[in-house]
Amino acid sequence: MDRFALDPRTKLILLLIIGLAVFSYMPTYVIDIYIFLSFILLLLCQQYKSVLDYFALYCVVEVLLFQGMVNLFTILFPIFVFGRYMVISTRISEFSLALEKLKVPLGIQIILLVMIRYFPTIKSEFRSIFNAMRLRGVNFSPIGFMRHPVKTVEYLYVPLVYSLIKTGDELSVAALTRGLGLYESRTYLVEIGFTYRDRLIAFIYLAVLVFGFLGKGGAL
Amino acid sequence: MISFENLSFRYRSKPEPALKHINLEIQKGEIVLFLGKSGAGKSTLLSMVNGLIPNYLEGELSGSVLLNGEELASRSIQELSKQVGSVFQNPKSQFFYLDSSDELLFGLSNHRASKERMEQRLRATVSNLKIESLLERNIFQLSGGEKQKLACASVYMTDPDIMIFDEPSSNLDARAIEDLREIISCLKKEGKTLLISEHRIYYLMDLIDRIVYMEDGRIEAMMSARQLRALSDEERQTMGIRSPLVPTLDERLKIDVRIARERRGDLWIKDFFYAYPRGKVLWKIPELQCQKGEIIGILGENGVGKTTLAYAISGILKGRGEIKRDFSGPALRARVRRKICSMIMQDVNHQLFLETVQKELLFLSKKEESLARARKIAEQLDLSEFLEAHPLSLSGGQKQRVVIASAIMDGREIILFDEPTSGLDFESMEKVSELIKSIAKDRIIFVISHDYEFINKICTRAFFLK
Repeated sequence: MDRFALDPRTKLILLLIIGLAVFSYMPTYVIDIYIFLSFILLLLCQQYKSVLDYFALYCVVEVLLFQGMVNLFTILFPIFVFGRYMVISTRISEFSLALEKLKVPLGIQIILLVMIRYFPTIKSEFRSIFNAMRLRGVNFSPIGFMRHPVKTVEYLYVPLVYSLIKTGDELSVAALTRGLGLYESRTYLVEIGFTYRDRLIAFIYLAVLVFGFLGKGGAL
Repeated sequence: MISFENLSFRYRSKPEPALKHINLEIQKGEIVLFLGKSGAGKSTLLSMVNGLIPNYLEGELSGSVLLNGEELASRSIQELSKQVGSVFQNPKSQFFYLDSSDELLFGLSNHRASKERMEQRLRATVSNLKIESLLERNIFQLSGGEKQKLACASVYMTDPDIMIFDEPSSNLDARAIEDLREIISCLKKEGKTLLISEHRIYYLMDLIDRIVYMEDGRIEAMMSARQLRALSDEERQTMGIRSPLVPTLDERLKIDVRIARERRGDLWIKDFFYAYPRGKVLWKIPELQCQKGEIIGILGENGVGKTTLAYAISGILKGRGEIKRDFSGPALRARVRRKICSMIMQDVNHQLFLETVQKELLFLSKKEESLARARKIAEQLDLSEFLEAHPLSLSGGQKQRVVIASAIMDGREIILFDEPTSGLDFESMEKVSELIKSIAKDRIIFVISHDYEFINKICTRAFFLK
């Protein structure tokens, strides 16, 4: 996959800027600009279909349901779209190297890496357990869930927790036998570094934030 | 050189020692195959060499393991990882990254290797093990066979002198096993010392230097591949060793799914196929007719979609085409199929939801007569003494029986088994075979497997999924 390469540290800064904009109740058009920018980043990574999907989702929820009102969706959506960009555009080894350069201790790096590794695992384990429940005749549709909420969660809980513990155990064995944690820092073949792209994008994001603050100030 | 000197070990949670007074010397460059029933101590012995014991798995240890004259117990797992590489049974959970190229470099990265060394090892690994096609791939999209190949390659990247394989072929089909054989043969040529524990042994027969047969925590016998071949079938089977011959499917079992042999039966599948949302057809069954009492084998390479087929037949996924009870009747919808089919998944842990076996069997039913029936079924499947036990506390084989018992309890007429024998020794395979045969009467059984020995043993017919 061709990726529009930014330094993972730049991405963290951009995420911070978006978070700041969202949680300081910027006017809707500022948030919209950030969503638009994230779409462009996703398009640069050839994610045409997901951009279309997100755009459709955004239109339906914003235009039809909330008509521009501030709600949980407006807060979470820009972060979610940017998060999607981060996930598809960053190799974990790059992310790990970025953490290393930011002087994050190895222990915390490992926790973060394991978390990233866990999400897709949870997803696939969840699907398999969900299928097992349907085979036994547990109705996991929204209606079925509303009829027996406690039961449904109970059924899911035991096998999910068990499989996560088991996977975690196997994963730590594999990591240890391959030397994870032998030294305080690790070496990498990938390289990361700031280029003109990073500066340009960071400048745009920051400029939008500044204009947003000015606009908000003017309205006061 | 590795030497075990009067080595004994007992896991903290077990009353009986797992290893009893082991004395063994392994020379540099030797390929040693460890055989024996599950629980004989093979894995425990291997865990002594990669340092998982005593660093990760705790217990009581006496005696010593020496690597080139140096005591191993004092060294950490990570330190040992420079000399000892390990490949495990489950290809799914051996990966740390999500991208195959990252994964290959993981070990060297931990060992603080230089960029030049990383590049050099990457080139060597790709060309020696022929894994060009595995580079830059998402690990979640690799087939089981590809994953295991990547696991071997990732360990080979760090160039350890000793490599440990703990049942590496358990989840592999014939072709992936052939790839594994080639990798092991390449490692042999490079003079690496290999310690392999395995149940399916045919692919290793012309590579190994020595066989160590273990029983009950002891080394019971040592032999060469030639001596093993010379054993009679009976001798071999009492030792629980599987056939050393390359297994082939019994030709008489093969069904032609292009056309049914006759138009009657209890289940009739016509033009059944599964397609991805983007339109690519995964597989198709033109015509298949089955009768109650039959055990039908489903074969096919890793990644062809055998599990998807089982999900589609049982109505979890919507396959397209028709499944009918008989030729002229109405097509069974997915919702109906979910009520008459049951599936025994490869990982049965996903199918155990409740806190006792009895509750698991009764599930949503509160009727009086259900309890009596549950007890009877439990007795048939040898589960009576576990009715009050937590299903997850049982052994793998017992868990599998609990799930089979619930399928019978729910009155399912069609039962699909997904790789019921993966990772089983000869004796457990025999038991599963007997069990499946005993429940086949009045039911239609489908068995997904890439184990020809097993298919030949139990199936009435079999076909290759394409």
